[in-house]
Amino acid sequence: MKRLTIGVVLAIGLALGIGCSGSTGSQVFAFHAVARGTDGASGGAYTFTTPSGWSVTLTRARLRVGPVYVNHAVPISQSRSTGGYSSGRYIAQVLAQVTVDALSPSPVPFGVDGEGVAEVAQTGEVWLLPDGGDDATPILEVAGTATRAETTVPFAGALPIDSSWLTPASPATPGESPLLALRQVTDIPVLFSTQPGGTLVVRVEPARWFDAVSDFSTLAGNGAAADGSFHLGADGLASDAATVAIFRGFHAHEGAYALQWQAP
Amino acid sequence: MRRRARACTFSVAALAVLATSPIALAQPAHVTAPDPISHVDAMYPAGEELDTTVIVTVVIDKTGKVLEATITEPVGHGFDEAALEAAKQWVFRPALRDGVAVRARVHIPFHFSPPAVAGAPPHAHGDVHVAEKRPKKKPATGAEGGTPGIEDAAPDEVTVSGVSRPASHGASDIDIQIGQLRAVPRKNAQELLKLAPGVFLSNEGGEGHAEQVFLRGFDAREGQDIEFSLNGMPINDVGNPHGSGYADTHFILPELVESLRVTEGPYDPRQGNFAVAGSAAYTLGLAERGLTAQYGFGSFGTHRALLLWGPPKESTHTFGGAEIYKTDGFGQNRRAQRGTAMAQYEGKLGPKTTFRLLGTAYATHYGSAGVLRADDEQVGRAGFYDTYDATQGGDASRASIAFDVASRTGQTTLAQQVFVTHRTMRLRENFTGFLLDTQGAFQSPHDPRGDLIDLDTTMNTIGARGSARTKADLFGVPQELELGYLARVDDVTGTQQRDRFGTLVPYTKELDSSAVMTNVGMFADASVKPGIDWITVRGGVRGDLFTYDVNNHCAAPPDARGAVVDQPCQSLDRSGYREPNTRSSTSSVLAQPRATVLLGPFSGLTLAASYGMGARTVDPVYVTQDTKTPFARVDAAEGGIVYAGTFRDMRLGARSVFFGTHVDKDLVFSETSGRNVLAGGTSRTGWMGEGRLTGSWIDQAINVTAVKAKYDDTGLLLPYVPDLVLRSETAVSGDLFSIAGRDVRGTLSAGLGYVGRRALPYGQRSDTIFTVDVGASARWTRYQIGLSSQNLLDRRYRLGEFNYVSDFHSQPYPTLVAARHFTAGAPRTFMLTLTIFFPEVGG
Repeated sequence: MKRLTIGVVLAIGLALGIGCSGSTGSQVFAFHAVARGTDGASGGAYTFTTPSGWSVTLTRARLRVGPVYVNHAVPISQSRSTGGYSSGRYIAQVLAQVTVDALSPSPVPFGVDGEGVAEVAQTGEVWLLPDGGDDATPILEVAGTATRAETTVPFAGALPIDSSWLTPASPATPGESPLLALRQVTDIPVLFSTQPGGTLVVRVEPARWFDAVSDFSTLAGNGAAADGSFHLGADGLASDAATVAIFRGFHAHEGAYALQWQAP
Repeated sequence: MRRRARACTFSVAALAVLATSPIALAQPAHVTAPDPISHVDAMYPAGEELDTTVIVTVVIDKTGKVLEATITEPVGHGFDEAALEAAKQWVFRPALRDGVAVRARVHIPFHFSPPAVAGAPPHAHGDVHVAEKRPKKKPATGAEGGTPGIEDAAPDEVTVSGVSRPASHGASDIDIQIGQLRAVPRKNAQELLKLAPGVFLSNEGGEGHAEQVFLRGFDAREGQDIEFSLNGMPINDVGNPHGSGYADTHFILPELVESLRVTEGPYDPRQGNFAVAGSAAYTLGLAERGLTAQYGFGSFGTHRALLLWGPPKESTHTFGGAEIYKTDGFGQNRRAQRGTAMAQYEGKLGPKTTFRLLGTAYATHYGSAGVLRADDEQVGRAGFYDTYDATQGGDASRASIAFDVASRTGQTTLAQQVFVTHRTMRLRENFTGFLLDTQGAFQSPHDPRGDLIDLDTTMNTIGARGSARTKADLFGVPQELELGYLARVDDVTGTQQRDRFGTLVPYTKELDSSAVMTNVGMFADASVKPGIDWITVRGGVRGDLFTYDVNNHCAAPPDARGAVVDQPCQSLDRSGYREPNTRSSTSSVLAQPRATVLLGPFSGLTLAASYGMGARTVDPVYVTQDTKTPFARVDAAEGGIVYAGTFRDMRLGARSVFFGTHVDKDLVFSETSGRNVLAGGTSRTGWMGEGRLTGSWIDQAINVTAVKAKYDDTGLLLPYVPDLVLRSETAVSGDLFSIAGRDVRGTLSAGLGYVGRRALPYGQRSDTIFTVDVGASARWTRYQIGLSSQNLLDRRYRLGEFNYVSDFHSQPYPTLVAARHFTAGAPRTFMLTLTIFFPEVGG
């Protein structure tokens, strides 16, 4: 009887040990998140040359970014709806906004911790949402001078993301270009593993905003401020070519933004 | 191993007659004979074939309790012990002399007839009784202890039943007699499942939504992995769009459940579709004869009115019952109303043929709070018992009729049952908030409109089952063989829409289908003793044919240029015009061997080893034309030891079982679908222990199950299933004091439950759950008052916990990373019940 009792006790102990072990994999954690500007600037003016040969000196480049998401998967072509969320699995998010000075490499905290799970990240998303749903909220503010050969174009302005930037929809596909899609910079290529204790760094590269501008002088049609700077266009897609190119530039998913994971 | 069967006597009726019979009239005019209030069936000794009668003489005290029981006419072979054990549990209305209770002595003849349905399927025809009229017996006389006695008498008419259940198919084949544990507080019949080891019940869908059942490492959702039956009639909904196999047992009045057979694993060839984790077979019966009227009211505006009626001269399997229930519910949006009626008549078509006709009807309308994000609750954006979406809830109804007949000819017992069921169900659930309604190109521009699932389905089932069981001598001992079949056809229509948040206005349709599914199964089950008394081999094989004929009325999504904007079901694809539907049909055959080897008993101990293969058909939505295997297969094996004996004057049963199972296509919860969806292969290993001690004044049951369930490919744990479940239930009863010479009988009960930290996705673990439910009641003559409390300690616990992505717009920005969600367990509740018994009604 004593042996039987010992046996039963051992069996129970073994079973409990087996039953209460193991994991479903991965883990959930909170992490720190910051945004900062390009490494090429030090808080003052930042000069670079565009692919079309313009030498641009930025004196102001502020961008309102957030929230930020990181996805485990690379979206397959056609798998994304025309607005909303990617396929795959989101593994990290920072649910806050911050205005980042793109001309300063100093990190600016988002103010809240991000939430994540331990996985390999392959894509990132930076959303450019207005403040409190107010479409007039400027997302981008820039000022600087573009010079090519004998032409110098001082410019300054702010760009909201509102319905004036929407491509007119076909009656057959009225949902093809929703406003939300304009406010998402998606498919930013990344490759890192999210881990507890790490920090997500969102780096903004202002030089890439101007990659598609072939001629800054089209800004001249928008009128000038008292200091002689030409305004950015205010008519959305109907604006001048340079303004439209800048708008598209800061939506570029390659180059304009970099998401990095700093291990502790 | 002994075959078990029950014999019950209807001396209840007979003794009630006593008061007005000539015998009774022979008593002094002011003397009333004792009258049975409740009685317990005797168990028919296994392995016996006698048709015999045991006379038990019982002495009844002034409270109606049996003080002493002795055999007057013994017959041996285990019949005497069975009759004595049953008689001791009878309760009487005491004899009266001049209106004062006095002790009395009566004879109870227990007549045992070989079971009409030996080894009846756990879910078919089940209990069948053979009724016989017994000749009048001369009254005996006697007096008790100096108290003016009442002359003893045998009843002038006795109705006798022979009831059987299938022979045990292993250590995890558990026959649960509810008995005194009926006093433990429960909300519904499904909670009786907690008497089986390893069962954990959850519910995120509201009071009218079937409980989610976890058993031995399986997330069986609402029954998809457990075969449920009531008196042999299938309960699982084949093809229910919320999950094929959905089993809502709320239509069963718990007071009418006599016993529950839970087989944890597919070890009995009678077990059919959905018996993956196992099966649960409810058997109905009503011991309390006469009319019982009960009204209960309790916390959160809960009211329940109940009527039960067991005609005194009929068997315990003839009864009627009805209830009306309503509650405001704890917290937000948990209101519920329901009405239930059940009735059964058991009669006789000849000396060896009985029949049973069962009818049920049930309807409910309820609200549901659904899930809450833990982060919202933690920072105060939502209260623990709040809801995001007050349009969640549902409706359900069920009407069913079953007719079964059984007869015995020589060594062969034939049984046949037909059943018809009509079911409706509407269910509204929102697990993800505003996550899924992204903008489509063929949709008008819109903001996220909400993810509320609005599912509606109607199901009609017609079927039959039957069996023939016979015996023959081989190796010098009787061997048994049973052949049986099941045939059912299910006709199901269903739609699933998504509604705009808070409006119940549908904006898209995800499902619009109709399906006809047929299952024809046959089995052979043998019980063989190969010439050695302590070895028994049981088992056989089951074969099933599953067919599907599915018509998807919404087969063409809007993905082609020219599609009608905003219309979810198109008549166009990339090749041009098409009809919006697609038909798919398939069929498949599966043979499932099952076997159990039993060694013993040795001093009450029996060793058992079992293997079985089972199946669960897939949802119709997964069926494509000529799908080769529209079912998931489970292989299970176990080894264990079972003890059955006595401890002092009490029955003691215990078991210890190690088990392992493998499923090739498991089901895993999907929050976006709002139900379980097909996943890969999974395996489980674990241990279960159980014990129960039953005496005249105490009933104690305890069980524990530990299990590890993991995916085959990754070795990671299966989420949501508990790996440790403990349950203890206790009921004690005794006489408290006397009022006007009649004792007050009190009963105390307690149910304790513990569930370990469940694995959740992303390496998370849930909180533990520990609850204490208690009940107390006092009965004086025909009046009873009861007070019960569930979650007595008022622990704030999370009944269901999940880890997935949702966006309920509770935060300024979309929440797209998995987060903890929960459904709140009920806070402390009280229920006061007042019951009046009218045993003479219908007598």
